[in-house]
Amino acid sequence: MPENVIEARGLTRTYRKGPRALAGVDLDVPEACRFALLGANGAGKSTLVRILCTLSRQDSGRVAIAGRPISGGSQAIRALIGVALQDTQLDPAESARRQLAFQGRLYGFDAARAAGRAEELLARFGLELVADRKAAELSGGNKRRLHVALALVHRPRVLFLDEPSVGMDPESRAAFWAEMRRLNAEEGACVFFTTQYLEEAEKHGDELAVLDSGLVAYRGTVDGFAAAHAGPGGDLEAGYLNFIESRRRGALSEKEAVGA
Amino acid sequence: MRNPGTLIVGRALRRLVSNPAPLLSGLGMSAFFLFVYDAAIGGIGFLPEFGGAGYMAFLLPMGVISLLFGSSAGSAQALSRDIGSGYFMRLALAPVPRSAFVLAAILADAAGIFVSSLIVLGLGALLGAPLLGGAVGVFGTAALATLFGAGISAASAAAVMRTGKVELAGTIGSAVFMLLFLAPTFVPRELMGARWLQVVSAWNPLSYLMEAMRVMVSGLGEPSSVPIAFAVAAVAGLGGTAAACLSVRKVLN
Repeated sequence: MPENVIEARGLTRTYRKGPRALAGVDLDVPEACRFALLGANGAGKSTLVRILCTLSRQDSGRVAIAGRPISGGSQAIRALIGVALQDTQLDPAESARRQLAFQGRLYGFDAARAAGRAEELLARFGLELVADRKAAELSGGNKRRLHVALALVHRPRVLFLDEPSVGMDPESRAAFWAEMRRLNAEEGACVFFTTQYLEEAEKHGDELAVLDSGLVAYRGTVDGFAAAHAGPGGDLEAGYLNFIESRRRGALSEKEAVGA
Repeated sequence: MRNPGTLIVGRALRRLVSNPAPLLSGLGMSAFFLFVYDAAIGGIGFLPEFGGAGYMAFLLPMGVISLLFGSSAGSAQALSRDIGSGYFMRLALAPVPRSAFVLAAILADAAGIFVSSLIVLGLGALLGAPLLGGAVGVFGTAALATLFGAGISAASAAAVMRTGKVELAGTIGSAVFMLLFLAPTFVPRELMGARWLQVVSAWNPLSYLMEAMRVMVSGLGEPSSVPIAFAVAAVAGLGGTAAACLSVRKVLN
């Protein structure tokens, strides 16, 4: 069993008529950890997640998930990962129960097992009362819960969550994170998430990376990052702001040096 | 354990049944054209160029082909709904070939076209067309329409996936619809007034479909048109399907 469940080397990606989203990302993520990927809007977080979960292709570089390289046929990798992207991905015309069961069938469950797993997730995410409503008729919070529940149906080994708690009320958010922690602790799943809520990263992440201008600007533990950049008694948010500010100042003085 | 392919096709068929508008519009258009053209110019059916089987026998392939223009938009519309809701992205993350979701939508359209073709042929028989080719002729005609219709359906799906514009779902069908008027649809080639139209119709793939259907349904015309028509339909079907499958990556990027 590999030590790192995610290994990325030299990933680059430039969008046509757009900016360079990734400029050579190297990243290792160990098994069974809760990993926060931080960065400003446009830093390349979503692009990186889309490449890691096989939706997009990098221009260059290589990626392996659980020791298997993503190249060409990525079906075996897709069986190992669960993904909840930033925008909800639901079939508006189908009920929560049917969507969960169908998702199980797509991952090779037989009908009884898929139905059982659907019931389990409906209960875990508090969706029992709305289980037979079409997704289009669900509230925003319930859509979000169903969106995450669908990513968990097949008990993935790595869970990619892109801004997962956006649009959740505080109660749902607490329940969501409790479930992620349980999944990580009891099922050994690696939870890889991006977030703009730094308190979430601090509370629920073990390790983190900061992406800046398409590169990994920092990689380490959450506690180590706060200690190194926040100063005494500072939290992750203070550390992150100091870190980004110092990088901006560094880039500026480099430009000034070149200009001089 | 059920094969995921069966599940995916099952879902596409359920969606077709729950959203039958494209199929019904194709059937409606087809029935309308059969009634109106038979009423307007059916009197010319006694001419020897029509083979003596009556005008409805000559016109019936037009009814079958014209239903394709509405019915073949279903897969593009279904895929467009999945793309718009983001659900296509979820499906693309499942451990099955991504083209399976596109193929399933095209197969659902093909199934709808096959059944609709049989309905139109039945309607034609009720309106007086003799089905002299029997069951083989009827099912052969439905198969030919299905193969060609699958091509239009797949090309429409490819156009929608490449551009993200659902309004393109019907444009491939509309473009092919215009070819109907450049084919021996209402009169045989020898009765076409303009020489240029005869030349164009000789290059029009719909001419061969129309003539092959006449051979299979009513025994009118040259049997040699049948293999040519199946070749044309196979090229359309396979070409369109390949284009649709190659367009999946465009949606994800």
